[in-house]
Amino acid sequence: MKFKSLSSTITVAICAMSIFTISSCEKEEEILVPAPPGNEFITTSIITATNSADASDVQVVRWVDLTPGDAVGPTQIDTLKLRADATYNCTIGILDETVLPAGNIGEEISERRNYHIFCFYPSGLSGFSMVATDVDTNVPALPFGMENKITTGGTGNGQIEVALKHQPNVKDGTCDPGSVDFNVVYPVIVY
Amino acid sequence: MFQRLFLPAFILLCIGLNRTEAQSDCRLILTGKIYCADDQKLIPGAILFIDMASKGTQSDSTGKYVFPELCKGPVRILISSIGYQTLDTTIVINRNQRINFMLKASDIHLHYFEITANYIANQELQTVTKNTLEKKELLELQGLSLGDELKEIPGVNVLKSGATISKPIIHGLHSNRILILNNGVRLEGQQWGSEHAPEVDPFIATRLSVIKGAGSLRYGPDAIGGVVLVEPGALPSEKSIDGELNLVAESNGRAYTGSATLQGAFGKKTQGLSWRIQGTNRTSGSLSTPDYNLDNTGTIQHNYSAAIGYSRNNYGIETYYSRFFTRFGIFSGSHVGGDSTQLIEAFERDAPAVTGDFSYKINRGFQEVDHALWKTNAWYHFKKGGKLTAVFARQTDVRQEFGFNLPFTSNGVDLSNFPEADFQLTTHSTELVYEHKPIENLSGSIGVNFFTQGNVFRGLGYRSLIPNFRNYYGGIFLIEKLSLGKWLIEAGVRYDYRFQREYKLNPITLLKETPEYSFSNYTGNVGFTYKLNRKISLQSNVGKAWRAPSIYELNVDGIHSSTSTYEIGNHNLLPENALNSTASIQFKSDRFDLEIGGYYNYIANYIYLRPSLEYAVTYEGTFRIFRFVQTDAVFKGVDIQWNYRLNNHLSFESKTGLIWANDLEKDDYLTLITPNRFDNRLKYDFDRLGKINHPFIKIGFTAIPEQKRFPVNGDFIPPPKGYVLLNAAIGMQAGKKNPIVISITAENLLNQRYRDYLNFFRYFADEPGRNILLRIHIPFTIIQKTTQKNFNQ
Repeated sequence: MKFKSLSSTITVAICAMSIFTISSCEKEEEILVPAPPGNEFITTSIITATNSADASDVQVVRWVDLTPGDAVGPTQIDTLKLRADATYNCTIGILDETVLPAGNIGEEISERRNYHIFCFYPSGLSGFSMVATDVDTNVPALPFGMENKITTGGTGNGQIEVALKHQPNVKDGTCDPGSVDFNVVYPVIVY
Repeated sequence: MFQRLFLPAFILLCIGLNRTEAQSDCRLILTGKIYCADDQKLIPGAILFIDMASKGTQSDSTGKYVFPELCKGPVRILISSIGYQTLDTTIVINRNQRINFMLKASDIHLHYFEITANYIANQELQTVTKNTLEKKELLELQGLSLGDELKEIPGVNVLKSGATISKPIIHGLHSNRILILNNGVRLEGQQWGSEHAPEVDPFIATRLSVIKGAGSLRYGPDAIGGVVLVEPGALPSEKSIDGELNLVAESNGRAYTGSATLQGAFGKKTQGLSWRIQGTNRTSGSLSTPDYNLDNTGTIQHNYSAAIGYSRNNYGIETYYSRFFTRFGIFSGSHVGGDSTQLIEAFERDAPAVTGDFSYKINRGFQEVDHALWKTNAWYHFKKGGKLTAVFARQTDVRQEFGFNLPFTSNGVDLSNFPEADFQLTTHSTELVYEHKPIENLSGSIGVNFFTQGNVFRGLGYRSLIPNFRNYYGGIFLIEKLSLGKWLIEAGVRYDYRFQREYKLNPITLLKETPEYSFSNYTGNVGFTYKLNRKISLQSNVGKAWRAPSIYELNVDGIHSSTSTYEIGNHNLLPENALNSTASIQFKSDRFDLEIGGYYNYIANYIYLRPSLEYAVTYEGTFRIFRFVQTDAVFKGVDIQWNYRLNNHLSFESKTGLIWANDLEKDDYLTLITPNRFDNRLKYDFDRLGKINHPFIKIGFTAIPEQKRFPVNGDFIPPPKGYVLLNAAIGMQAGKKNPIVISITAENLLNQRYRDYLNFFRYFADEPGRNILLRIHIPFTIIQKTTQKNFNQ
């Protein structure tokens, strides 16, 4: 008798548990929670290069990937076309174009300039350099690079890699420490 | 007299009359009777086994047993009988003695293979290869992570991500291929990640066991590699309050860990009611290699658990709650990012670009894991024999990952405390097992499991790493064991069904998609144990197991930042099917013990990451793409463990793990397979020095040769060189009854510089250097057990 009542109690308990496990779930997983508003994704990098000897020679090149962080590659990569033996004053813009109007991430990076640095790695071009012209507010001040200068040499085809490094507490003016926030490559033609 | 140190809390011990006749050293007689602790009835046919002497006997029809010709000194006795908990105790014999033992009705029949009815049985008799670290051994490992503790078992290694994250590898397999049973409940965390450590506090365990090989039959699918059992002691059953305090201090990382347990049982009217509370706190600063600090490798951990139980003669109920919380920094040198050129530069550096100084502070680039388990189980013994056990458990696992970079936001929203990735997994599981009354020599059980889990992803990422999902899962199993003289034969069959529905956004159409998967299959095991004589036993087991592809393997599509690879899952992956054979031979004698175990694990559709020749171009740079693919694979190897006791003082212990793993389709080696491993130790026990007991000195080394068996093109850089680490320890016990145990251990004594093949951060930094650990174990008693009072009189 006792056995019967106990086993039936257990059976009921197990059934109750099973029902509980099936039905009581809040089905939270069915709601796909979007990223909180305000978070921005880097989709676009723009270099605006102005020839220091010819204010009408302004080059604006864009690198765009509207699906950031996936294996589907960029949708637009412009070629930077520069004159030989010239200098260009450049600014770099970084945008979030997943929203309208686009979010200006460049502004925030500029605010966080004390632990960010832009690094430039040209290749395949002779006499070509790209160096920071602005500094941060560290003491002593260290290069930042959102504003910079390109000096071209002879004609040719090559590329310039632009990297933004994140260097909290370790910024020393070089590109070695820290992690990469951003790293894109533009083809370059010097003519 | 009575070494409580080795005594699990569940043991009841009664003593009869002592005869005080002096005898020569090895002609002592131990005799007495075996009772049931609940109803005081005599138990005929109980099996008694003396560990060191390899002596066995059985209680007769009146419950009486006799052990002739015992030597003076401590002996470990194992007593088992069907339906009762195995009693494992150490007593000191110094004259002819009569001791009556009481066995408690078993409330854990989950470990079916422990219940053996062979004529001469002990706990090690089983058909699957199982190794256990007992409390005594665990005391010497306290403060380490679960994975590092399990490394003591030959054939077990650890997979690491830096110095703070480690998880066990059994016979070359890890993560989702290993089940971890936390107090009898399948641990359900975010184990799909090879850099996600198990969410378990090792201090809750009084025993840690590893089943090497397919353990799916009892515990459900996925256990192709093995099962780890984290077993707390049973609750005390007799009026008492006692506990223990464990303290560990470490030089590397200046870590300090404290863990305390307090447990008790009531008497008289509330007889049968018992409880336990336990808590652990651990703080570690950044670790250092012989040459430099490992920046941002601090850890904190707060864990606690509580249990309360009520049991009578034929039924019992227990509820248990445990909480595990950890926050740990991600080694800053591992987050190089950028394209492969920058990565290769980082690999080639001797030291990371930034090493920083020692700090307890955990900076950005950290993760938090909060795991809660609530379990209630009940059991009932039927009058005519047989037993029913029911378990219900609920687990929540919250894992939050905070990136190195503060999120970008221009509209004033503060996202600094918002995790980049946040996974919340909730699991409900139930289990019902009926163990039938033995029919002649046949014992067995039938059971059903059911579980469901839901995973919710929230985070800042543009896309989630794994989608939200809901799982339903059910299984039924039957296990029977036949005991025939020297033979023990066991066989079992199991059927499982699994259904999974994913919830995700299509990145192009932005519509919700709900792909569904279902998997089902059979599992089976056949095995035997043959006890040739008192010294030699053989065992073998053949098991079939399977594993459905994990959510990560099916879905991942993104950058794996610590290795700078871009990983892509595959929706068309098929379940893995394994056929696992193990065989072992055990030899035990007074001075020499040997165990050799071999395995051959064939896995059809083995899932692994293979480098493709493609690249993913993203705003963070260009990454090499790795894809999840399948092949047929074989894992085979040998584990050897032996120890030799030259005399009562000097002993030598050796452990070897050898493994080969091949990709049968490509006729090549598999990547990331454990190198061979050799551990050797020499111990000198002084027995007594003045008032201190068992002062010892131990010296040993671990040798890991270079892994030469790896596929070409399977990795960025070849496996690191082999290494040899020297370890040493000294220790002692103070006090007779509840000895305080103190030890000082030096790991990597020579401060060797090395890198380990199975550490994902080997690309960026060396392994930690010398670590000196001070361990103190303080047991205490507030209210003594009455039987023990009698015993001590």
